[in-house]
Amino acid sequence: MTAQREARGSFLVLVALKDGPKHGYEIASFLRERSGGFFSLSFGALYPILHRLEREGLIAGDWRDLGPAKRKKVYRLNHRGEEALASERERARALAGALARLLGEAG
Amino acid sequence: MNAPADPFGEALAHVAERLDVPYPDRAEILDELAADLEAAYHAFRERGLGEADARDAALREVSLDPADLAALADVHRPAARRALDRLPARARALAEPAALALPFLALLWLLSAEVPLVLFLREGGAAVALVLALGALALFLELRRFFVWFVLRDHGPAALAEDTPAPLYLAAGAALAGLGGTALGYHVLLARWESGLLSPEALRAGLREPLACAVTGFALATLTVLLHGALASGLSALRVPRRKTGGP
Repeated sequence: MTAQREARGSFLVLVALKDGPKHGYEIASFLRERSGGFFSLSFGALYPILHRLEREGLIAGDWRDLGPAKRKKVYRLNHRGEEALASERERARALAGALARLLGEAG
Repeated sequence: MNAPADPFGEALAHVAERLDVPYPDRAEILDELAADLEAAYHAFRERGLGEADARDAALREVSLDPADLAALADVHRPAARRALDRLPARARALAEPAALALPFLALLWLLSAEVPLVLFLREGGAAVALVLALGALALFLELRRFFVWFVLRDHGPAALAEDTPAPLYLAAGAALAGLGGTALGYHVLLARWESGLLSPEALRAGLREPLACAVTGFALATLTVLLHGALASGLSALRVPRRKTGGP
């Protein structure tokens, strides 16, 4: 995975967790449905991102029991993650604004 | 036909085989994957797919290819393996055996530095050499396992295949060799006593000296058994699946 794809994937995961805790399948479904299919993360790409963000302390994973020998891991944003998301959101807005201006001038 | 009890068991076992991540992280990844497969399966069922189609669709959606598995392995690579991976191949080839041999050599140095211990071992006679060889090999195997399983945290099939009772057999061999050496020493002592060649001082020494062989053998065997048990407990605590093995 390239650094750019990984950074974008990390941002998308932080965005998906902004509204509340979610497990892996919910995160993937949220991104696909909310972006109208524009953004999607395969599970293969999602797990390394989730685990890296957890190790870096941006998100936290909690296990919830689903019954005998079954459990699911639910991720939530923590304080550092909220700060990182705010910073990334500003950068994304700046990028979108710059692109809009550029396209407006070009048009 | 009834649906299988665990519709994703085979797929998860296949992932477990290819996933180069140490326990307990490996077990947690499999639990997470199982939960997401279930969630995907129920989502497809709610969309109207039949059981088999929903299962196949879930497996397609929640799949991990070799690049994904490599990315996961990279995230979960233990610090010791990261440090070794940064070394050039030649340095790594030296570093691994050196790190493994270090505690063993330190133990040997401590033993040889303790003069009374060396004298004690010499009292046991030639059989002590066999006891030491068997006991040292048993301890070396246990230390190697400790290094591979708990320092490198290598829990791949090849590393876990070393989970055998071989050190316990060697430990039993050391204890038996110790007993044999002691019995031989007493046999010689009795033969000399019967011939009337022993002074009271020589008899006292003769009664004490052969014991060194049995004491050494049982000490090394006990240490090996304790280490073996500690390693087994450590693997269980990490949720490493254990295969059934016999032991002496």
